[in-house]
Amino acid sequence: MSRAKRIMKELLAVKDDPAANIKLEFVNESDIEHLKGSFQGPPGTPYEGGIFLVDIEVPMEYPFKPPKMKFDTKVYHPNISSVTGAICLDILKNAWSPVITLKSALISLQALLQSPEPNDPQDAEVAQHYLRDRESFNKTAALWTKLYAVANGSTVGQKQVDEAQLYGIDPNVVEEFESQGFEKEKVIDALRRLGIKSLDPTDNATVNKIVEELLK
Amino acid sequence: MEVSQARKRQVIVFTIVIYALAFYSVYDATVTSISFLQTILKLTEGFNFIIICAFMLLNSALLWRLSTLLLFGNLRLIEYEHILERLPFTLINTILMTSMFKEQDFSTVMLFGFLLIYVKVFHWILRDRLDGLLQNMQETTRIYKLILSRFTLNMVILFIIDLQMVCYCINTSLLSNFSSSTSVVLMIGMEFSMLLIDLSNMLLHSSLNLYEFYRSQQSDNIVNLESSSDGEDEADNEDEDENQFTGLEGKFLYERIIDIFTRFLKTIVHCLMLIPLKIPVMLMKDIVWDLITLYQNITMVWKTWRNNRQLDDKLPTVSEESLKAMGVDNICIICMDELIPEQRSHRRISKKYTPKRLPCGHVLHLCCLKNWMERSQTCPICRLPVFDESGNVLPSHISSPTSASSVPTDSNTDVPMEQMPQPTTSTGLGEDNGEIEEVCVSQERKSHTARNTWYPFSIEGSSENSISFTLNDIKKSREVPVKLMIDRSLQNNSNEVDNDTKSELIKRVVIPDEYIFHNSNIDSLKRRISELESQVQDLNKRIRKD
Repeated sequence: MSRAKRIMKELLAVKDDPAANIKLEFVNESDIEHLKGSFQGPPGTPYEGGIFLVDIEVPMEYPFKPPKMKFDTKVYHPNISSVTGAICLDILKNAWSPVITLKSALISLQALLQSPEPNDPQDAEVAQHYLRDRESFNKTAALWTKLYAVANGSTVGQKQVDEAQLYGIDPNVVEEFESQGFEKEKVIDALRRLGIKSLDPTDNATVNKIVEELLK
Repeated sequence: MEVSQARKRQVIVFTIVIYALAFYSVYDATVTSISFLQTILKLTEGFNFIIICAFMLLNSALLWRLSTLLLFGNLRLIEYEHILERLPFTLINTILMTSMFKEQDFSTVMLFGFLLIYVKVFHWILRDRLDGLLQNMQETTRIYKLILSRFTLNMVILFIIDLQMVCYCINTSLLSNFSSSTSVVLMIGMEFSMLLIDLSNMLLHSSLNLYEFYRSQQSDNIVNLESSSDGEDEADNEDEDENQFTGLEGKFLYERIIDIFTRFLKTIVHCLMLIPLKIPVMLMKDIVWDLITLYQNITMVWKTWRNNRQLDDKLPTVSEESLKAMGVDNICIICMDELIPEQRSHRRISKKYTPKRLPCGHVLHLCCLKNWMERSQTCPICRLPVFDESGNVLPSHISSPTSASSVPTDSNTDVPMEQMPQPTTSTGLGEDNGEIEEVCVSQERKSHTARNTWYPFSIEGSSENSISFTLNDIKKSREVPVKLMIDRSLQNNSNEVDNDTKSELIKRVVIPDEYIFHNSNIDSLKRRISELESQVQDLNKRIRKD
């Protein structure tokens, strides 16, 4: 079938261009529909230095229908679900055209990491974080990159990391509520639900809102 | 994992509690009352009633779980999502529908309503299963395994249920001689016949796909046989090409026609129901909706069909010379296969591999083009429309034949290669920095609604660091002068390693202010420019390689 031919050619094209720093391979040789791609995080962004794995499913109608892509690596990004890795990118949906190859789609994902689109979010919590406090967002994204987007795929140190830090929440805030007798996990959960990352202790209205959420 | 465990435990505890409560209230009611009637009365009032209701709901949910487990096995995540998505709407719709029959016995309506929702959910799952099945089809799959799968069994079971329900409803309504209960039965019967039609739609779709799959496997077999019998010379290779099955031609159209056909059946059933039912408000909504979709689909299919029929005649076939002029780039971007001129293709390659030129100058195989045109009536490379509104092929935008014959294949651009100025210096500028195609993404995301605003143009002048050209706005018929600049003043040491130089390159695009009059236009101009930039980089890279 022409689909198989085209995929093989695309694979060759990726191998011929090592400078692009993109990898593309079959999950197993007999199954032409399932591939894994990977690329490096764009420099100058919090994703720098990470290697991002992408799961690719090629539909029957390829290249007339877009391939299904999702991140295997956990990414902290407004247009990528932090739980499932689902991607919100128009060229993978209705703006697809057969000129786009698996390679160029991966490059587009790389570009997506570089320029997030918080107004059309996939992960609302992350998008809110991005819009409200860019610096803290960058820190969290960099932390996720360091934790999850490592070359050998091992997730060492995942357990030791403070959960508050993982979601970009100021640890002092969590400590304060902990000292009031709330459980740490619940505090973090509530803060995530409310989208609060840091807190001015004199801001009583917000404190009350959090306590209310905690007592629910 | 822990969450689901906890959830499971909660459900079990809840079930036990509700069961206990229900048994207790039944027991209490029977003991304290003297007659059966009094028991029923006690059960249907106050707290007892709530318990009984919860009991029934719980049981129907459990029953549903059990029957899905039996019919479909474990559900995939997406199937759950679809159910949760559609359930509220369907529930409200059913409640509205049943509330139309006040005089009716409440319990029969409820019973039918429940049954309807049950079966509907099964249909949704079945549809998702069909998608899953198509997704998992592979060259190695045996066709009889597909036919004898659980999917077919489920389809048959649902088919029988639907058919039985429709027959039952028709029979009872005929027997009861249009009494008051007829309308309920008819309504339910109509809903089930809708489901039946949906099911036949699915059946047709899956048989179409199976047929295509069968054909492709057959052609694979032929190829295998041939290569095993006389695998000697290179002619064998071309035979293979010929026999290769590139998907069922016009499959997309067939699918649309199936949809239209089933939609038509639905409209007929709805219209038929207009006669015996006295309250046609709900029906009117359905009928209007039917007619609108029917109209849209038919015009779409008609347009696509008519346009595709003239693709072969109206589009110019590319000659051998101009194909040669394209050099290494003469591949069809859709299948990434070589474009072969017609003279040679006379004998071996069938007509569908004829290279055809679109009005925008891009060249594609006829069959690849046809496949794409079924989905979108625009050029896959530059998204310029191929047909005008009345269905005629648009006149070519490119005047000189030499430039038209060259078509870039690698990146998303429609600049003919020969028109690109060769940059005089390429040191540092052409360093491959892995961002060749990435520049346009953010713009594309915003402006994909205004997809058709693309502009042809030609390059007018170039200097060491800049290229100037005129963008031609076909809609407003005016010209926009644009300058593309690469500012290298910040880049002092071009001998550094690749990775370091790229951040110091500053690219600039200059568009005169007076031409910026529309947001979407700016977006598409920017996109066009960023594509040009990437093209320049690409070319530089190529030059360095050579």
